[in-house]
Amino acid sequence: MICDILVIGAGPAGLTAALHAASAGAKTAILAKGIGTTHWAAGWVDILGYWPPGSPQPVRDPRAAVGALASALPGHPYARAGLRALDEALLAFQRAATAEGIPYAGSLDRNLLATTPSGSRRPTCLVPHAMLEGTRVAAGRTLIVGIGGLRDFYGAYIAANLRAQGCEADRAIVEVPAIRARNPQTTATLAAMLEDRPVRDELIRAVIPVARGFDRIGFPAVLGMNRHREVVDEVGKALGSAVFEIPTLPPSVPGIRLFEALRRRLAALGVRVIIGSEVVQRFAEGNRLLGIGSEAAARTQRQTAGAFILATGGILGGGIVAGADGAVREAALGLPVHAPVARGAWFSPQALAHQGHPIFQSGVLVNERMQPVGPRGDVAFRNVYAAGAVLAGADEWREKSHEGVALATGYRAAQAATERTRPAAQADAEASR
Amino acid sequence: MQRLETDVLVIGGGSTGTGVARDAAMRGFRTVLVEKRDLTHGTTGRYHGLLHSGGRYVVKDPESAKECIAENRILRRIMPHSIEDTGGLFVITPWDDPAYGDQFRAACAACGVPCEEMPVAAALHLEPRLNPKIQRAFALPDGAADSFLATHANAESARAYGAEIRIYHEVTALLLRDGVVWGARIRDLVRDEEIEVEAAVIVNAAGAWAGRIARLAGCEVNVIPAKGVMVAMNHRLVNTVLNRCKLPADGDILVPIRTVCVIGTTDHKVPDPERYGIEPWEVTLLLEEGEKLVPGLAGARVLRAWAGVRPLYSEQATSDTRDVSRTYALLDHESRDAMRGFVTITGGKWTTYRQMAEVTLDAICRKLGVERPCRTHLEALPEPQEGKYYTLGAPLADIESAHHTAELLCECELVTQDRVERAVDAGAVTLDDVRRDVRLGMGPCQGGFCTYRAAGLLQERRKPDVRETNLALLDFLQERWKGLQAILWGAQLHQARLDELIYLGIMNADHLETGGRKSPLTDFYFQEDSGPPESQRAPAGRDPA
Amino acid sequence: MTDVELSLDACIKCNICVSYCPPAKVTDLFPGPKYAGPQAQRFRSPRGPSPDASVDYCSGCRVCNLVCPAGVRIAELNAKARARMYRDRGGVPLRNRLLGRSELLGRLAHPVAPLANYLLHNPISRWLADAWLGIDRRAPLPRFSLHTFPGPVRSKWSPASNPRRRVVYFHGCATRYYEPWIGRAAVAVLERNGMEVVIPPQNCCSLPMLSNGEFDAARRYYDGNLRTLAPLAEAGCEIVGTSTSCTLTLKEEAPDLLEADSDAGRLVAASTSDICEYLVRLHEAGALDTAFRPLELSVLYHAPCQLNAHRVGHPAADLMRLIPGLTVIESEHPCCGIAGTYGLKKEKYAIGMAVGQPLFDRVQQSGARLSVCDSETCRWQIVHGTGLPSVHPIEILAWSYGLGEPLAIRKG
Repeated sequence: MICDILVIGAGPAGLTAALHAASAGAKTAILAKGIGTTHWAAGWVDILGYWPPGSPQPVRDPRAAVGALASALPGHPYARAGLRALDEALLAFQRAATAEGIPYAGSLDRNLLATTPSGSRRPTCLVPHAMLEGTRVAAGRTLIVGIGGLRDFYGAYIAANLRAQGCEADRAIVEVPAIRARNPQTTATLAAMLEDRPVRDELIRAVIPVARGFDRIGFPAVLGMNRHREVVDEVGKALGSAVFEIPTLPPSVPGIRLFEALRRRLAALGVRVIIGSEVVQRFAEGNRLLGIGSEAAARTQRQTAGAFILATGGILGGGIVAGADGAVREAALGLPVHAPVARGAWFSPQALAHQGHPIFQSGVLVNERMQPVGPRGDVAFRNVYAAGAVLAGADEWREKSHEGVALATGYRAAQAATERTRPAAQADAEASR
Repeated sequence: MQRLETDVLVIGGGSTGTGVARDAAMRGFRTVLVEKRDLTHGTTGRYHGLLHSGGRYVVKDPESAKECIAENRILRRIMPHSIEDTGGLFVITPWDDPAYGDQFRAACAACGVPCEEMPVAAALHLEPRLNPKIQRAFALPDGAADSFLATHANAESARAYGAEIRIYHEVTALLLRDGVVWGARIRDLVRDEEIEVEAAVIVNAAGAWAGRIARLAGCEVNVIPAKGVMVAMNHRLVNTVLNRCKLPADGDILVPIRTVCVIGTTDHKVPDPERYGIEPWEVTLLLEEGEKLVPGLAGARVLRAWAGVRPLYSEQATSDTRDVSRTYALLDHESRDAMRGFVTITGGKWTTYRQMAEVTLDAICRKLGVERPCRTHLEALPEPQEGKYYTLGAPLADIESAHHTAELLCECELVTQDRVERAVDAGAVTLDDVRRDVRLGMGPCQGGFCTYRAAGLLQERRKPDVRETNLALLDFLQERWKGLQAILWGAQLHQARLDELIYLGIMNADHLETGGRKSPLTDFYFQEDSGPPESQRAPAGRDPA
Repeated sequence: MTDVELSLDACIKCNICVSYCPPAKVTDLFPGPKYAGPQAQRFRSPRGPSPDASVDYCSGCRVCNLVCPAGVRIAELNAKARARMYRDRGGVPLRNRLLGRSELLGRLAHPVAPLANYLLHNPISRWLADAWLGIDRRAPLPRFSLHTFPGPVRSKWSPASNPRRRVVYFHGCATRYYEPWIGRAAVAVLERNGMEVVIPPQNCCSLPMLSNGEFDAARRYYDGNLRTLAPLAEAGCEIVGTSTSCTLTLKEEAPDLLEADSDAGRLVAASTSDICEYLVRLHEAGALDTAFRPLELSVLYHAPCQLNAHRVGHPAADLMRLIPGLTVIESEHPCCGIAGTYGLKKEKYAIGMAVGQPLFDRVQQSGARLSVCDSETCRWQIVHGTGLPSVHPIEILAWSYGLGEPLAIRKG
């Protein structure tokens, strides 16, 4: 495969990078070992939820907080990408999501407080439209509806925690025989089932008697997969009240919807997405990466490109691998990694310590052009850029910054990579004219 | 204050304590057992699961070896539901003294431990992952035992004979009068109430904590808490117990138990049975040793590391705990310390728990001047509700036939919702109690998916103040974390980060409402371990620039 | 090649495989890849009886392997567990043995192809096969061809010629007994590009046996192929095939599942390519004849699961995009539901059709006149599900080279 820009990784950072590279006119492809964090995370877009670390109060104005963070931590990915990249990436994301039928609400000026599956109200920046009503639970009466047989959602727990935060909330569990009979293993299966009208009608019939008197009804995020809007609209109409979704344990149906929407967008832009093949080799000449070898049946498949965007994720995505011997590696290209020096310093004694576990902040260091650099700031490969959780210095799950970091750095990396390849592409275009 | 009167008060809800309670109840004594946490919370629940054949001790500690083989035969008879007959192999690897083989075989014969030499090829056929470079192999009747099931079966049987078993009851004082220990003051930690129990005889079966209990009666009992670290691998790499054929040392046993195999153990004196850490070097050592038995073991996924604290008894203080006999000791404080009505049973090992109970009750009968023979070896233990799950494939076959695949709360260990509900309804106080009852959270994801599900279920069924549920969730995450830090790398580190995504990213668990409280029942999990030495700590580098 | 069983350790229980598994999406008879694969494997003991039978509902499509972010070899774990399950539970059923013997059936039936086709395809025998054997009477079975591929002439080659210009063609049972025109198109395209095509005697690749739980028989067929192919690979010849499942079996499936690690096996695996993968390589080296005639039509290309499992991208789509005038729409669906012989079985036919339904809808809504797919059983299923013709990409290439129109077009 020969292309202008090869993006390695299909998580939020890789998808964002590919979207911008392809939009800028580069022939772009994505190569990924497997599916990434979109399918686990809640499906909303975090920018910065808590800052400084350990702050009990959620961030109200993420734009201002990111600015403060960037000046306090010049090595943080946000500081590298810049606030402008974040702003532009977020707008582009909202446009793309809307065009693909899953609009997101919110803005960089104000965090929302979303309802989580524990019932804890959590700051996030953008939520899919179907979750918007869940940010308004402080006013009016909310009913949380659990579905019998679904083990990944506990309405009683959510409602009790909402009440503990001063909201008026109750819960009900409804039995839907068609769902019990089908024994769905995951929320993804259940979401697909609810696209069948008879199953959906059964659910609606079960909810109507318990829904009376509530201002809004919260469901687990299973209201349809490909025909999500239709399902939400119908359920809302039939119940005569506002309806919203609450995330569940993985797999994340809202995350899958988002991934598929972005994939459709990429397909329309002619981006080839190859899932299921890991990078196992690199071919370089001096400080230029010529190509990579990806694992294939009985061979290594060579892929060449003008530029490469590394978006393989951190420890969670598999982009950073830590061994028993204390060695921390960047898995795809063997780039230098910034990590705690010894295994003894990887963890805090408390599991949920606010300062986090240093090992999870390890990753690749980059310059302002998102080019990976060594400890002395030297560029490893001049045509390689990095984005997302593979970058050092963020703890996205404590900061609640996962998607924001992915969007800003993915956008910035694509920008830098296309600046680089544009002269060549333009020359080609002129030559063919 | 509540007052109780009984014949025998047993302190400690491990294998020994429940064994004593059963024996006492079967001999017709009114019996009360108190345990300060959950049954098996101490050493019994933190052991590798080896049913000794005695082979390990034949050369060094023949007395122990003889006790082991005798009890091995009895336990197989009375608790088949808690024992897997894996068989055991003692193998001489290139790192072991080849001359030990003949000595070992002769010592087995002398102790009456069955031992059959097996051609190396046959051993490799039996265990394909075994190191092909072994020089000799001996087959012995080792096995794997589920100490949770066995202890519950003992408690169940004791209850059936009229005993009262009280968990989360901590002894705060022994009541003394004129050289007699006549009772104990006990705090019910769940209801936060005091209870006074008057007893004809008090049995101190507190294991590694026995020294502390004895001190409450002014008696000095030198119980050396000897920490043994164990490491569980993510799945069974072998199906036979593998022992190095040599004098006992660190990391020389690999026990296949349930879905995992456990490499054990180390042996180090610790000052306090509740405060100890697991050092990275201990894990490294175990894996390096395990590699000698099963090449590739050190590179396979490690599930968890934990430590149990052996109650080694010695009349003198000693520093090398390997030299202390593994046999047990019954201390009659009347003859020893002129303190009547009080005995301590300590030392020993899981395999000999029943015999320890037997000699304890024999002594009590003599004291009370009654003749009531022991029957614990004659009558099988009741099959625990989960007993049929013991064979490896049974839970899978069961779920398959009942088509319960979507009702698994803990998918890794195949724990169904109704089993968790039963455990919750039966009064489990913490989620860790549920874990001991049904193996919740003991598989690869270490609670990643099931902690939330169990907490949700707890809230649905008990409807407590939600802050209690939040605490239960946070406690369990912390309890699991304690066993993870020392072994987090590779796949298990990958898993730990997914679990962070779930609890920090999706649930916002780091901002759950707890009212600023910590649970008095579980503060144990939050105590800081000794941690790595200062020299190994790196400056926390948030800012890479 | 990795240790299949040890790969279960990489599973982080994340459920991505479950949310993509084609059978698990449509039925609860299969509890899903995570459940039946790495999770159940921890409960399977070599000493105890096989505890679970639901693993038989894995179709072996390998979508789970591709989407897994951790690299667990779920499909292979399942295939091994299935073989073990059959061994423990009274052996492989006669139906599976028959379906696994495509080569034997072809050899017996082709000399009397019209009669065999009559016997096989009339409603009464389909009803009997359904009732007695459990082969669904609606399932898409192929028709035997009276003329087999390659015929007697083709198996000769000259030892004196340059091995670099020589390509070994592994045609597989489907081309030999059912669709010889695909073999002829393949040879024509290769020769058009200056290759000398060698067609050695060959056995069934063994995949039907592997996926039906017959590992011992599979081993004999696989070894037989190694004996003829290894010397050719040794001589520097590349081996190409038009059946994505045959080439995948030679590359990876047989050595991994049979735990047959040998020099000959590794050499054959490294030398084997899907024919389109091979032609793309030629193209990248500037050696492909790109003098394609325009084809003014629109086709829907479905990349079969077996091709995706090669992890080489979609070479057929890349090649067809070189043809002027041809519009290639990709199906973007992971599986047609047939999964080799899975969808033929009575208890699984409905599952296979439900898995394929979104693809059938996509084909019909795309407005394409025909579908293109590299795998034979998938083509039969797509034709069955859509009523539209389906051809191998090599037929499209041959057509565009002016080497003959696809048979399905001539007929249709």
